Formats: sequence, structure tokens, C-alpha cells
Amino acid sequence: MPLQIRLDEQLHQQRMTLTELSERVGITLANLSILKTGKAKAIRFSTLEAICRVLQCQPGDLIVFEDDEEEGAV
Amino acid sequence: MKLNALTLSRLLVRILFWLNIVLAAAFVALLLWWSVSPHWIESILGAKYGSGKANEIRELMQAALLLGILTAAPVGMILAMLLRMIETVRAGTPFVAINAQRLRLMGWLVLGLQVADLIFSALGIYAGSLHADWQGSTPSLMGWLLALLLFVLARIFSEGVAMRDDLEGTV
Repeated sequence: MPLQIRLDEQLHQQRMTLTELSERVGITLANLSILKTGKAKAIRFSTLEAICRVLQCQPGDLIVFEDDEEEGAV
Repeated sequence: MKLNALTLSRLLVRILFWLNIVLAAAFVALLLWWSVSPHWIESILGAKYGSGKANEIRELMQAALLLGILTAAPVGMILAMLLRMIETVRAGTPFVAINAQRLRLMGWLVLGLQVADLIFSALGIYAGSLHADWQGSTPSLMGWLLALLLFVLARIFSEGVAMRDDLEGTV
């Protein structure tokens, strides 16, 4: 999938664990794991807002678009 | 205490399920009894309608019993599927593909029962021609509407399953 989730990098920058984030944003660890591993089909604005607020980042820091096909063609 | 409609429905459907089996078994027993020794019922019918008609009316009653036994199967299936659907609601997962399939099958079974109802009405007309006392039924539109409703609900459930699948990957 061209959309990459950069949750790990942001967690690392903030020196925070996934469990800690889960407690602070009020989203289950299971759901955050789905997001982290790129298995989520969609993300609610409320989830995105909560994560950005806690990790003090922008949505663009969390979600990055990388077109694999174009890279392969070059 | 708050009345739980789901628990009440489950209890009611269970009672109806077993009642259906008991009635079907009773019909089978009667049918077997009259087939093995028709004299007793024919003597009673003969006393009421005259011996000339006794045999014909007994056959008519046997046909009605046979129809009752045959319809017990779809009725039992509908009740069993309804029970399973209630269980999925209780488990909090009603929007599963199997429930859509169940509703669609229930629709077809209700259609079959409506056809049986027409046959029963025809038996009633025949009973009328013999001047026999007959607890008949008149075909009603409700059953056909129920079948239609079940087919529509099956479609709604299919859509619900797709929506739930979509929501499952949402965080």
C-alpha cells in the first residue's frame, strides 16, 4: 500500500511506548497495533487528532504517501 | 425488572419449536393409527355424516394431517434459524453473512408455506362440497408480504455485513 504509517518513528522521537500512547489517547492497544502495522483500512479523524495531540506532531508526520510503482519505474 | 424482548423472544421461539415437533408427532401418530385401523374413525364419521361419506371424509382428514406433517419441516427450520439469529444478536454480532442467508432461506420457506396454505384452502372447499364441518383458513396476503419482507431484510443484512466489514478495519 502506498500509504505508510510512521507511528514507530514518532513514538521513538517522543520516547513513548505503544502501551503508553494507548493509555493517553484512549484507544485500545489492539487497534493501535493494527494502525502501526499498516493493517487498518481507515482512520477516524478523532483518532488522528488524539494521536497528533499526544505525540505533538502533524498528520503528515504519521501518514506518508509513497508511490511504489513510480519508484520502481525510475 | 426491565423486560428483555430478546430473552422473551428466545423463550417463545423455543416453545413454538418444540410445540411444532409435538404436533407433528401427534399428526404422524393419528395418521398411522387411522391407516392401520380406520374402523374407529369411520364409525364416528359414519354416525355424524352417514356411512356413505365416512370414507371420503376420513381421506380428506388424512390429507390435511399429511399436509400438517409436511409443513412442520419448514416451520421447524424457520424457528430454528430464528433462534440462531437471536443468539447472534445476543452475542453482539448480528451482521454476519450467515444471517443474510438465513433470512433469504426463511423467505423461500414462507413462500412454500403460502403454497401449502393454498392447498389447505382447496381441501376446505372440497370439505364444503361434502358438507363436512371444517376449520378452514382463508388465504391471506400477510404471508406473501412476510416473504417479501424477509427477502428485503436479507438484502439489508447483506449491506449491513459489508458495512460492518468496512468498519472493522477502522481505527
